[in-house]
Amino acid sequence: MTKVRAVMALAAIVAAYGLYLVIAAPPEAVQRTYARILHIHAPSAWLAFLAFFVTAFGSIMWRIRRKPVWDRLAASSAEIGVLFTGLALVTGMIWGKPVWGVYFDWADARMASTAIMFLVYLGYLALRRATRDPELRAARASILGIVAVVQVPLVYFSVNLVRTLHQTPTIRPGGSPIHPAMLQALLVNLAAFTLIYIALLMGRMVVGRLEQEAASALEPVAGAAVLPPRLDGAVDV
Amino acid sequence: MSEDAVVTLAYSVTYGVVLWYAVRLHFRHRRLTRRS
Repeated sequence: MTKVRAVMALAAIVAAYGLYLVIAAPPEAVQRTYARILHIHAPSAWLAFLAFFVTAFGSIMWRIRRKPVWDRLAASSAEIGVLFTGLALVTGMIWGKPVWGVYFDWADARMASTAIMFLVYLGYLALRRATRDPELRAARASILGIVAVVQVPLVYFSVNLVRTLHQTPTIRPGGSPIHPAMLQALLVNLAAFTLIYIALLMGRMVVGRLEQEAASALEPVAGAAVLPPRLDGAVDV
Repeated sequence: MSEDAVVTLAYSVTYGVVLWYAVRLHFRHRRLTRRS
């Protein structure tokens, strides 16, 4: 856990610098101070996308190698991805009410697809709890982990495919339309959130390994060895 | 609610949840290593 603490400490430093840049950045012309929420909203969403790609990668690797570490990677990343998707939804709602006048709108492609993605990955976590057999659990979860990742590009490009309430991507090829100070704050926060994700992922994988070891130690070992007495006098070898 | 209060709420929720998850992981790790 020493490495985890070191990455977390580095993430805290970068996050503190990001917070300073957010406060120092000028208020946006239309959204005023509310625009500062986007400096944590966008990184949360980016983290969710990254986490679900890692889940898919872990799932594919488990299907190829069948090693528990890949299943642990997929599960750990999905859990953190759900956490950050939830945060992206909540910060989006807090920002949306004063700027758009609504907390949430099912008619908006980005909001609806993000909410569905959140529910699907909650389902992924629920599926993992449906069985105690690690092999069966990994086999079932890996299929959903691979299939569910198709939502990520759908959520990302939803704003380009269907023009509703949500804006199109701010950072895009050919230059960004936002103030350089705002862009700098956004990029530093993006780095801070990525470091937070790496630290949490490392920590969750360590805890996952310990949980797996504890679960296998608790498995009944005597059940298979103790045989019912043979009444015909024969001896089991 | 003032603009600053809304922004503070968003940041408090985000960093609060991340901190809660990190602390939860820490205690889970401590419980599991003590058992072994």
